[in-house]
Amino acid sequence: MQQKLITVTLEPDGTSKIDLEGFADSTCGKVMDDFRGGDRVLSERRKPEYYNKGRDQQLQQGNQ
Amino acid sequence: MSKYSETSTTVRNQAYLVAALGDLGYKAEIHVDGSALVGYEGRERSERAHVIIRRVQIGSASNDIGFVRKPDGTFGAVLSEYDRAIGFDEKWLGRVHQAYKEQQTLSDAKAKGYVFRGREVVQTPEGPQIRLQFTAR
Repeated sequence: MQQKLITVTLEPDGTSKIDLEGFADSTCGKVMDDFRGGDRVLSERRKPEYYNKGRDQQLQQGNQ
Repeated sequence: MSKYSETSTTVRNQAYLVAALGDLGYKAEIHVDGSALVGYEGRERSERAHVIIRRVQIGSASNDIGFVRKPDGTFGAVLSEYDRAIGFDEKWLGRVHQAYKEQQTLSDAKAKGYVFRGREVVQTPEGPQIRLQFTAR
């Protein structure tokens, strides 16, 4: 089972980045909210591997 | 699933703010009803603040630095033009926000049951970058 890892990067300009790995789609939002602490969101996106995983699944289905 | 989010720190919690200033080497005073800031000549200024770094901790020609609680519950910094010019500027405030966010993140994560895995400081041209890692139970 993949470890559920949260990395919070605090930049010297006062902004921060939250990086989630290994979480189910349904729990990502709650974990993000836990670590944002009510701060203003500047940007949010899924990481490339999320889309790659979907593409890989499609390729596997296509090969069957 | 993997996800990124970038946020801008908002200072709302007085205890975290005071702790963050302590991390940066300042002993801040707390004034529930606000107190006047003192200028470089030793006289009270018209500006008031709820969290104050007295000028003796900054420099002999400096003014007090204050953080005033605004009607929306957030804190805003009160910095004189002189002190901004000697380095207590937006870059310094960025470091205050960074230290505040570290306090907030460690405290909130513990309260919500996340497990702290480590802290790493990476020196960058812009200043120290702090990386905190947690795992979910």
